[in-house]
Amino acid sequence: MAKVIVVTSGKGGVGKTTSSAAIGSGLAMTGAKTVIIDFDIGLRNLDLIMGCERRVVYDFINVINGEANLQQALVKDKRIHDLYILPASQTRNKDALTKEGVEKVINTLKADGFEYIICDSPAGIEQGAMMALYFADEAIVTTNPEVSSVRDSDRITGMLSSKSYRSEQQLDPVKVHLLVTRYCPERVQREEMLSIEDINDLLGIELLGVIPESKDVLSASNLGEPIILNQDSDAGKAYQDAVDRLQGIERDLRFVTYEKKSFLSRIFGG
Amino acid sequence: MTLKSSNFTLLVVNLESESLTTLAEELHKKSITAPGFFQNAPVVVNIENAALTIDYANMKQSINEQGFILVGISGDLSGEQKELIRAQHIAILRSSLRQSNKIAGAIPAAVEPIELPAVNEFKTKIHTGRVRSGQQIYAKETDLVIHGDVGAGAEVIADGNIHIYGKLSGKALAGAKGDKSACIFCQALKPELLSIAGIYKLSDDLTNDYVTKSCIVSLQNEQIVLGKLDQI
Repeated sequence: MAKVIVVTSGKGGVGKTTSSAAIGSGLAMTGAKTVIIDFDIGLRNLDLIMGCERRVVYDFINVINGEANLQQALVKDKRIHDLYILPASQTRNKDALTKEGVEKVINTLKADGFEYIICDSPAGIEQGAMMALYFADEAIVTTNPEVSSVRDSDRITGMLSSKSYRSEQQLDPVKVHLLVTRYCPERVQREEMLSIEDINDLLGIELLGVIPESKDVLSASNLGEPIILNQDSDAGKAYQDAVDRLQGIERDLRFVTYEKKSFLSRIFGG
Repeated sequence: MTLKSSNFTLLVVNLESESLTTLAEELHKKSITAPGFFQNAPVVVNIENAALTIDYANMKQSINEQGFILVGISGDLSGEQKELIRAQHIAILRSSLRQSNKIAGAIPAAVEPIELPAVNEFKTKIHTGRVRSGQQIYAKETDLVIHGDVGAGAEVIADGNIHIYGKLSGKALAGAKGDKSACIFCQALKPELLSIAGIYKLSDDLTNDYVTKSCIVSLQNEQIVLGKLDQI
């Protein structure tokens, strides 16, 4: 049974696209046929993060408008066999997304045997974000450990429970997961940053994963390599844990406590 | 389907003269005090003078024109009046006060079945689960129970009291239609705003003694007053 998973946050710049790319890649690496759809019409980024920007011919809006078929628009990933990208249109705006159009594309993807359909939501709570979350079965709410991001996540979680297809049809509610990104245990200890407990207190959403702040994320984005492919990086490992948990495999939380490095380990890099 | 008797509070207009224009004016004055509230409100006309001859069809229409719905006529009615009223298919109501006064020898008048608002409309509204930022829960003409937290940026509003079994971090507005006896009860108080009957306090104005404690919020001498829930 195909699963539609929206990666959303309300606030911009918290790591939705990075997380979509990492989690989508992680799921595809398990052998499940996966597609990541970029819903950020007009501000196309997913293709850059995935490193496939040179191979985009047709886009999501072309498919919705019937100017291209889905097979023409899907970009196959070169590294991971079962991974496909459906890029956003750069020349249009979010109003080009219609409920009927999105539904048609998602149903075609399901019929084509895709097991995971990852919807990379734009920021905000307008048309684009609403369309990205409307057909979701599950949601990954991405949050940075700071108050404005947490409040926006609270807002979008409320939207998931009232503005989605599942809520309108009174089906089982959208299953919401929380993904905390850019977490820095050292700053949490210095009380400069919200802790996991604070965030849980404010949101009350089941935790899917905590991605530590890492320099590797920026370099991976610039290279067009999903961070999960770098398993030497803490962020890559943390995304792998999140992907495992998404499939029901239990994993302990890592990279959430700060251990001060001793003098010797600082010198010898231990 | 079950049949049972129930009590309702209805607006009663005392008719003292035969003039329907006076009646219409009175109703108009009432409705402009709170335009939305009296829209389609049920109303009972009370006639204490058995000598009045009234055109009941016209009366029904002029009440409708003012945006009210006539549910029945009560009062000390003559046999002739009753006949005319029944001819217009208007119910004759006996008020409970009258009943107790004239209990001896009172013959139960045939009351035509009339359409009254469903009882559930006045039942306490219960919301289960967290109220998230941007969500608004409103309990019209009744109390509101929230079984869960109220997040920052969320609003819970009731015309009656508000009970929160959880933490209040958003706004709570009780007695939204002006009931000054309304209260807010909550298990952990850290609100953005507390309001009763339009009188409000912001979180900045709250003393720290009550923050995150279980509280009762009430109105005393036009002032929002906080008290601890476990101290009476």
